[in-house]
Amino acid sequence: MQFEITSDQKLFADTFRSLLEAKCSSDDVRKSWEEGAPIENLWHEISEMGALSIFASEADGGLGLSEVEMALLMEEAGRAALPEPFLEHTVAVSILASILSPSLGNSNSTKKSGDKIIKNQIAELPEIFEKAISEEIILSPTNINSEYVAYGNRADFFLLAHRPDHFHLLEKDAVTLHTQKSIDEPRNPTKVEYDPSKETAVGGDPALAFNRGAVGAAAICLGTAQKLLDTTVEYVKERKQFGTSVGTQQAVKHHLANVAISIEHARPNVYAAAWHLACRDDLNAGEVAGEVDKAVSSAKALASDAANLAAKQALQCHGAIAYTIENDLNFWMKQAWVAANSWGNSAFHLNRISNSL
Amino acid sequence: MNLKFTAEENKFREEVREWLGKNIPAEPLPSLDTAEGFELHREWEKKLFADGWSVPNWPKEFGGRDCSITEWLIFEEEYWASNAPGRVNTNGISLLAPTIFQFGTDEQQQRILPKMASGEEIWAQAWSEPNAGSDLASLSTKAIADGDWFILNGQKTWCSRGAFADWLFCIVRTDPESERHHGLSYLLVPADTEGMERRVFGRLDGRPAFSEIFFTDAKVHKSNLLGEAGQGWAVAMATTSSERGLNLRAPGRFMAAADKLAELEKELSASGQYSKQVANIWAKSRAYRWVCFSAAAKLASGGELGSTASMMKVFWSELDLELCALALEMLGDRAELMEGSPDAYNNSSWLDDYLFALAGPIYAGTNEIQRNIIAERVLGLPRK
Repeated sequence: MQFEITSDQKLFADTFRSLLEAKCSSDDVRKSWEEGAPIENLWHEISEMGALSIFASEADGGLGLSEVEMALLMEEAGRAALPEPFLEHTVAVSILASILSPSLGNSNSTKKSGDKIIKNQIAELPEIFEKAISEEIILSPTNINSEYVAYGNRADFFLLAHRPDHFHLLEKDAVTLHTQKSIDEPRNPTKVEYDPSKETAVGGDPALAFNRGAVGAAAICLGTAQKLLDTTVEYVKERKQFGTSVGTQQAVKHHLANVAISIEHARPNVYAAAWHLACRDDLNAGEVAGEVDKAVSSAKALASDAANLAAKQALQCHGAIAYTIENDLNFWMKQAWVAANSWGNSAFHLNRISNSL
Repeated sequence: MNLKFTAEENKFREEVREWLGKNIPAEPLPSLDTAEGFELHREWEKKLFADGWSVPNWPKEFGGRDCSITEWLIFEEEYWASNAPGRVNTNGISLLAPTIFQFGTDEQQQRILPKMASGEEIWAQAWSEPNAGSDLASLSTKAIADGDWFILNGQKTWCSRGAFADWLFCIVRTDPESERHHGLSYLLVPADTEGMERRVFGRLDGRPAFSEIFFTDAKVHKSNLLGEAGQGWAVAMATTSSERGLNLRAPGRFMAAADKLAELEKELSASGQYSKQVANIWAKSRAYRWVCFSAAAKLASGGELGSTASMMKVFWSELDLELCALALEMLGDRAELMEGSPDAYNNSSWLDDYLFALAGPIYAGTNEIQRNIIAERVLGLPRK
């Protein structure tokens, strides 16, 4: 038992944080929200760092990393309110990586029928995969818990979890999109209408993809909650009422202490869940299968609660100044609500735990 | 990052499990806060000690096994999952011992630790006073040096286990002119000291778990001074970090309780109305486990918990209370039944646990004080 983020992992996350601090400032985020356009060149820079290919093997030109690194990057994405389909694309890449090299995926799901289906498509898959990890195309998956594809307006290809046991892969021209408007402006949740067929079926494991997405969203919740807390701490130190800074008041202190407790007790659980996913094949599959689900669900439930609490107390401790779109806090609050509610909210995951207790 | 237990750790777990399986008393012991239960729990400590399990994380020379923090966390998981008796000497082992390891002289370590490990001497904490609770630095019990002795006058209170303990660990004012954090000393006091009286009184559950201590010209030998005279505050603060962090409450305790809660739900509630709450408590008990393994890694690489111990204390104490309160809710009209009632569920263990859990947010520094510490020392908010 060695519960420690390695120095390499930390360096990788720090590099990503520096990139986002430089290229995805709150001004950049505001511009992206207001103009409805991605931050210029940012996706390219993320790709240059290798962050789009964490789940691709080194032989395939990727980084060959795991869910643990994914969680660390998603935490940074949350901290920066990154207005990009980063989690969605990363999960989609992981699905294709699993299909192309089954050893990377969940061995349980590579069913015989799945193999047959894969053969129909396999000629095009490597090319699509290569483009996906080199920023040429954006992939977005559905997840088994949602009708919508996040950032559907940005996707070139969709991986659609038609049934719980496999995905279909369709190009955007082959589907009809019904894009909605989200409170978290850049997300554009999109309903995808499509005709599934033998030719579009590619296999893959929607349950595994869902767990990856849930851990990623949990990490986004952590980063978002931490940013909300840090911003609010700075604000209540500066803001004066009754001749003293608001942060001297115990009522305010205790709200923020509760947020800190909530984040600090969710974070190791998120890393542990990521590790369980990364090592699911090493661990004895029969014995641990349920444990992986439970680790993921407790991580997402607690991280969602931390994000919601952070958003609530950030607004309360700022007061009216944060109840406006002119204050940058609104980007993180909205991201918190949405991330907490996506890839299974707290209630969904608690139910899943309950069913396996 | 590798969350797999090593072969050695697994072997350790097996060994603990096997020993507990063979040695746990067939019948639950009476409450350790009764005269009879106290002595039976002392016997249990002796049994643990005889096979090296009373203080597995201590050095061998004092009766331990030199096991790692991770192994100690494993020990605690197995211990609480096995329904083993409560630990009557927790205050000594978890709160005082770390301070003795840090500040005690060789003589003190040799004299005190082995007898603590064996249960021969059971310790109680006597810090609070009628007018010094959360504001501990306002304490006024005096201990004036007189040759080789300190002469104590004053009063301590809320002394848990104080009714039957053999020794007390106290903070006293050795400089009568001093104020606040200055001039305090950390003093160990034998319970049979002449001039020391204890008045035992009932806790919320009615058991004689608390005592008040009165010192009237009580003489304590200076060999019982822990750390330097006048440095008591610094010495005491080293203990509070142990008290709030994982030393006092390992996650195994709450993991076992959460598992029992899930079983209780299966048995009593067909409607599923408590399912989400149970799952939430279960998830929190596992979250605390990961927090502790992460803290163990930090400690093992030379780091310190510092004020994050305050976050842990708020978390586990509120989790414990939430857990026990939910169990009572499920028990419905049997929740109120006391030990000895024919219909009491499992001899009213959930009610006992609930009453015990109610103290959690108060002892070891109230949760309000902890939140102040978190806000000021972790978040950096201004004191005034």
